[in-house]
Amino acid sequence: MVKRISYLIVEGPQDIAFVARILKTFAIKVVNKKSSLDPFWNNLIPKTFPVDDDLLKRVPIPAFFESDAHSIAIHAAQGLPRLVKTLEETRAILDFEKISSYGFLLDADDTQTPVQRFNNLLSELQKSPINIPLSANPGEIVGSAPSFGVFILPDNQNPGTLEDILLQAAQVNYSQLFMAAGTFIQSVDKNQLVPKDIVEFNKPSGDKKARVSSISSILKPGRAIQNSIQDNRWLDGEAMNLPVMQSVSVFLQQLLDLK
Amino acid sequence: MQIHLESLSIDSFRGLKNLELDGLSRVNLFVGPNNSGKTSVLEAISTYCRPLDPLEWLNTSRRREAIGGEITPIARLNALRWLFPQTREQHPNDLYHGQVQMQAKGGFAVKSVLAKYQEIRGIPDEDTLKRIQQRMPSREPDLTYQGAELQININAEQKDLSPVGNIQANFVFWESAPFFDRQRRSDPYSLSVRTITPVSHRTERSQIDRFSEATLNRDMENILDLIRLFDPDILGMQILGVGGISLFVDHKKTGLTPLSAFGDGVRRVIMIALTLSNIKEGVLLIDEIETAIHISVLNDVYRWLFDACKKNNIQLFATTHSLEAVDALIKAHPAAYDDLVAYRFGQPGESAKRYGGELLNRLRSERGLDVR
Repeated sequence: MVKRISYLIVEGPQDIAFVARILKTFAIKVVNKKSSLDPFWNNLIPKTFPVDDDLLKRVPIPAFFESDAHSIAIHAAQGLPRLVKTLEETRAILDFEKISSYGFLLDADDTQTPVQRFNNLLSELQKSPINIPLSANPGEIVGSAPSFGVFILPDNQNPGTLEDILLQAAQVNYSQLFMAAGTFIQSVDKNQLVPKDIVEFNKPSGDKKARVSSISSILKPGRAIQNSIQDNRWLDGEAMNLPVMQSVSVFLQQLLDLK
Repeated sequence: MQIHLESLSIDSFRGLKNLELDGLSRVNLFVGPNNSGKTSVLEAISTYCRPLDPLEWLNTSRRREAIGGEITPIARLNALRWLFPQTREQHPNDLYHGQVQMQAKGGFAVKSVLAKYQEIRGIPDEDTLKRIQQRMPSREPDLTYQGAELQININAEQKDLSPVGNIQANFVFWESAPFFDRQRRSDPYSLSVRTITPVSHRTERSQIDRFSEATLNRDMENILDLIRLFDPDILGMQILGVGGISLFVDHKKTGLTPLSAFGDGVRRVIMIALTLSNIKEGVLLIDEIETAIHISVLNDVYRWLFDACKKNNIQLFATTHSLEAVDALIKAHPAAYDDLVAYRFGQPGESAKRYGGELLNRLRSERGLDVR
């Protein structure tokens, strides 16, 4: 069976874990072994270390997911220029004409609407040497071979980030932890901390990120949030029926042709 | 400074078909698996640069032969035939005919080359027969001979871009007959072009010829600068007639030492440097640019090579299997990405992927990907 090959660019490992959790409901599982990976992706596996002369930098490799019908790579990159360059580089190194679908899944952030973020991405794509048909709105899928689309979290309409979805999900599956995390965050006396301590917390989505981290620190102490998204019940059961989850899930089903 | 070839389109040459190389640069790197056509592209370029020179066609066809290996007259003729596309449909008893077709844009006057090869059988004219019999007295005189006609058509432009029109040249080669060209081919329709194969540095005759040319060009000091990157104790070079003519290196520790006593790395770099000296305003073709040079000096050697190409308006085309060579060329001039481009060849018939210098740097430095 010829697999449908898809490529998705996201902003971080938490996004990868989030999409992976949705793919899992379609029996699409992560590939851990190179020997199990569809050879189509071989050219995306770095051959040189260190990358960028940086001994501490994570090796820039996508996460790969496969089922009998699908082979999907999800690549994390940060900042719009780097997101677009990642696509340009991947198109150059792969036989990209064999790709069935590709797209971006980004945060709107709390300072921009999804449409603003989407337009900024389009502007960056138009500046690049990539010449592809672009969708006119977030959530819209254009083309068929390959199809292309952009989803702006949380729901293509409201400002926000992945944390907005996770907190809604936590209200469903971890309501007590959700409440306790809120109480804990509110109880923090910022006057006891120096400004440098709360630089990240004071950012627009700092409060939401802190609450997600607090819940995650109970579910997976000492582990990154993506591990908790992957292994705990954030997105189990009723949480998958939340409108924001349905919105992302339907987009991925349509873009990646998931059945 | 306009480069000689800004794009090259090879409709047919050996196994190459409809290959487009757009956006060529000062330094052009060809990567890809074995049998993907990298060396064939170098051969196509070498004939394109001197399309009306029959010796360039003959030399190009024989460049893959092993050094010192015996080769029959028929095999020599067939080597020329194999520059042209082959098909399974061709019956061994049929007289082969085929054509090579290429177009280019850029500073070089020649804009297209069409070469037709026609195998012939028969009896050559009296003069040719005499030459064959002088060379091969034991051969029966009444046998038919195998030969080939090479018909070359080029289209060219003058410097003001006005067309020169179609120029044609015809040549006939006979097996066993010596071939010589009475015309010196330094017309506006040819570029200086030299090929360095993976074994060129091991043929002393080539080294001596190129040393002599470099000496006549008064370029030895510049060449010695490069060679001293390898071995700072090299003082100079000389040709000496000791039991035959040989190239000697004057070395601070060992005195006058035959070049053949040095390692492959020094011999290879000397070959590159001597060749560069003789193709100013021309084209240098290096097959397997990494050959014999240790990774620790690749950066310095390639930086020198890059500079020499730029200074002398030389366009470089090189093949490589080595990621270290790709990285060293990227690092040779980090600020001059526009002067570097790489093409990755895939399976025969597939188009080549083009990586401009800046993209190539990102693929290697930021992503650590294998571009070969």
